[in-house]
Amino acid sequence: MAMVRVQDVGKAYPYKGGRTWVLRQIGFEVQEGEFVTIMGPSGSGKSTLLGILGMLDGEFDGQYWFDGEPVHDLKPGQRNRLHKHNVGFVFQQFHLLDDLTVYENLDIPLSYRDVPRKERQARVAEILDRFQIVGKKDLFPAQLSGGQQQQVAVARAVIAEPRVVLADEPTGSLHWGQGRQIMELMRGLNEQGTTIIQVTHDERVAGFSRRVIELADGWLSADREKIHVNETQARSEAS
Amino acid sequence: MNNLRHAMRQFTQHPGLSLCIVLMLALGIGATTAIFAVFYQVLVQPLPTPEPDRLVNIVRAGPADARGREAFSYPMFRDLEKGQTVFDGIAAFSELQMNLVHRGRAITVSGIFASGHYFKALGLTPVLGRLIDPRDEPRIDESPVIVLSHAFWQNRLGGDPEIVGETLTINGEVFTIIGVAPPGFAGTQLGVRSEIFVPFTMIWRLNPNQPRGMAENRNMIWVRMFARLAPGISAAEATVGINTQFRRILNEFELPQPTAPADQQQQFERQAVELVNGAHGQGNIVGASQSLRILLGVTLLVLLIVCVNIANLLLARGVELAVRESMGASRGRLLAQLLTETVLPALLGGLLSLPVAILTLGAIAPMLPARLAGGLALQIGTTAMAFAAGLTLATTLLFGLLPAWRMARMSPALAMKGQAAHSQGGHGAMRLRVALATAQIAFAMILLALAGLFSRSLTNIARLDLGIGIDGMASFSIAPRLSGYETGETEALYDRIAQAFIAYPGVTAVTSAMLPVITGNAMEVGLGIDGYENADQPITANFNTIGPGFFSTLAIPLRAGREFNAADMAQPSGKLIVNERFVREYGLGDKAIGRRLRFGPAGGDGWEIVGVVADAAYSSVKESAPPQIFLPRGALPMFSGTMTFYIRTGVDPDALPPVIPRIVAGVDPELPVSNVITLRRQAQENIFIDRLVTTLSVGFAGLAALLTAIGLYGVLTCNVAQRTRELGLRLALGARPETLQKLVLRQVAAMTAIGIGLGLAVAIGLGRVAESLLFGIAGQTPFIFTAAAALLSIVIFGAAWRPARRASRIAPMEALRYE
Repeated sequence: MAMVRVQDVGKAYPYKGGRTWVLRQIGFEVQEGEFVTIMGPSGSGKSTLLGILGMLDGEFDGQYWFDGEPVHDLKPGQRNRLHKHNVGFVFQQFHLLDDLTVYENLDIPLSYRDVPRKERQARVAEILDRFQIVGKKDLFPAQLSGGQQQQVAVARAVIAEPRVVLADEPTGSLHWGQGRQIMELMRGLNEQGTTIIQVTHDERVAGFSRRVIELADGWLSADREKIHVNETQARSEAS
Repeated sequence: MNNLRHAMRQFTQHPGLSLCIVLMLALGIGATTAIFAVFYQVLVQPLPTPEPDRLVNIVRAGPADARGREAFSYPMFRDLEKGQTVFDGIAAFSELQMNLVHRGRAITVSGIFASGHYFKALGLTPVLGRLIDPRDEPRIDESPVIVLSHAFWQNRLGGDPEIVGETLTINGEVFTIIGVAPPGFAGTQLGVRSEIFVPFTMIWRLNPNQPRGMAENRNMIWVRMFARLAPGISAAEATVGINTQFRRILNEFELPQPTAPADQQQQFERQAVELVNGAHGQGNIVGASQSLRILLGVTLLVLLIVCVNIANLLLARGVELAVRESMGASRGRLLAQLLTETVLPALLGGLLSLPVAILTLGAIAPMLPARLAGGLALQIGTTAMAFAAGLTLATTLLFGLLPAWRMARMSPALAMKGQAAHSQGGHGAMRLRVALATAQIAFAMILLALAGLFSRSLTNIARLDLGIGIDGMASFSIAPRLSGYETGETEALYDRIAQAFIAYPGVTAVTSAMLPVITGNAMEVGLGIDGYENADQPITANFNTIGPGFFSTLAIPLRAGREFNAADMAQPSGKLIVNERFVREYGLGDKAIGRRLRFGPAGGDGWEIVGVVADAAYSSVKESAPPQIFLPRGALPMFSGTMTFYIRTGVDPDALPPVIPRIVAGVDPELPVSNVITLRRQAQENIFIDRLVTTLSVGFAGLAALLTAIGLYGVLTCNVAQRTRELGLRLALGARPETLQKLVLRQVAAMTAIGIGLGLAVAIGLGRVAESLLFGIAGQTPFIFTAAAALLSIVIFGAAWRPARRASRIAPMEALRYE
């Protein structure tokens, strides 16, 4: 069974008495352990689709099953619970909470999941170590570089051990040197079993994934498996 | 706990913002609490008695006539008291300033003559001894006993536990203390803190001005009554019961003669009594109800502006909340976090609001007449504190929940791209913030318009020519008859006092009058004028008895004839003085001097007009002078018991009040002095409601304008920041910096126009409501509204100038790199 299955998904916003469609009849499946890139020009509906897949947006047409659960039929509370236990997010703007230290930013998702304090401490310590940011734990986001902030953001996205990480232009605010490190991090997570769905318009970033879904004007225009050559090409470009 | 820690962090990491929120809350809640404290005490607070809602005031049914609805004759009170079964006691009371001497010290106290069932009807029990009961009223003039108020016992007598059984002297009579009333009780009259209570039947012994005939005369209406409903009896049942008895008494004792005119018969038939809510006691402060309602509304508007400001500040956190939601926070968790974060500044603001409220009350107190200020005991009591706590909670919910509500409408998915500012949700939030800022403008416009109306009204009052030279004058009152002086002795005493003051350095003139001027006191009398042609028109005039040199001392111009001299006092010779209004009203023209007036039926020589004086504020600042006559001080012995002296000085009049009691004590150390005041202050006290409403409304309107400016500044700053990219792009495309400035200012102009328009519409309506409080100005004066709108516009554009200038100074390249 596919982890993610969408069928005829559409999304429209009211506009001047009518509706403007940003997504139309989208359908695809994502298996557990995949690394998928959603690409498309600006305004093609990438981020909107990611919001629906991340269960942050429940107002859409069509059907969406996550691990067999019909997300389209869930009430907001049920959807929130499903999201909470399965999804981690990485944003282009990092969106670390400015008033919290690195440690507290990592602690927050666990606290929202009612993880006991002792266990939270252990998991935060483990992730700080894994991402090699132990020395930064007491710093505030403003005291970190962009790359370090995104590193923390990725750590925050995975600390609750989600089954899927959704990343929206994860390197969009970084120069490529920093961006490549983040993508290596993401690939490492994927290799450890985490499903990753990312949105980007950067071919180099897309090169880290194995499959690309392309959107154009809200329609799904292509869904292709990337061949190993592309990955090799991406690696050579990265180096 | 995490939320609390985060709230603390938020608070300390943004000290400027936190302080701003706390201060705004403290000002808003403090001001509202202060006004509420006054409002509560004047209009809401029940008497400190058990089941105050069972208390009723007994009044006459129908519209009030000249005697008011509250008064009954003494025989009627006693008849009702005797036969009634629907009440748990009917009480009668009367108030009197009394001269009290205890352990050699003379003071003036506010006393109550209380009938035997007074304390029983109130349901009070003493803290010491016993209270007045029916056994203290065996017969008139008997039973010289006294009950002290708890405050008087504590403050004046040191709370002496052995006080019961001691004696003290009241108005020259020895009384025995029988008990102390419970704490908090100071009589039942609003704004009067009664300190001692004596049996009602002692009134004739203690008040020399109280004619003995009033005890039997059914036409003399002066006794006020209240009662407690008997257990199981409703107010409606009690009304039926007491009216049955009232009608029986009327039929038995007050039946008109069969030959009486028909209208008199009909009037007799219509007589009935009504029971009105007595939980708050009796009496009111003229104009206070509407003024306080308006002021409470004004402060609540200010508080609303505060809430809007804070909500606007917090609305900027939409993105952060969306991010938290994307990390798995439920709406409930976010709501809890928001509320925790708002609780801290709200708590601090609420705590700080108490000193603000106390300071506001401190500013209000000097504007009230001294006696009223003392009677109201302006302080933040437990009810006001509870109100402040409730307001704190309400404001916390209001400004804390608005961002939460907004968050619920914003898609967290859009926040992922950091698009909140540009997304529909972001624009929606900005639209909401702009709408809130526009609402603030409307609120501020309402307050400024009202403040303008009240200010203009007070200016009109200040411009009135009082006709009295109030500068350089002080006055005080004495009541020698209450200190044992006989009628024949008072004239000599008044002369001695006048001489003592004349001898004081700087004093240039001294005079006296029975009724103090500009205090709202007036006595009316019916007259006849010899040779008056319009015989059908009733002739009435206010009257006063005055000492020699009254007009010259008060600088009231003499228009014709002469004023009284010392000889007129010593041997009243049937002379009187009238004012110009009297001359005009009754068509005396230029032949007033020498005309004769008569009190009551024609006969005798009457009173000869020897002088005509200018109209002046004899009674009140705002009311035009009524027809007025003045008699020499000794002309009416029954009114010579109390006297107010006027001292004109060439030096600072404020230096006089402290020395006045000393000078009077030099004449008679056992003669208490009361109402020591400068005449300017007296004039101010006479219009205290106008001054209070104006001062507070202007203060609150200024605060509202400031808060609105702060709020607008915040919104515009945020707006410009959010539009940095767009503005930079415009610049890159060739827009001139001034164009961008105008872009922002155009938005401000639209907000201002809408806000002022809406505020104006409400202000016009409120102006109509406030019209009864205005003097010489209509509630919808275009000039005032225009001036308020202009002033507010200046404030708004002043606040908008900096964000607008910032918009024009955006660097295009930097802006295009934005986000």
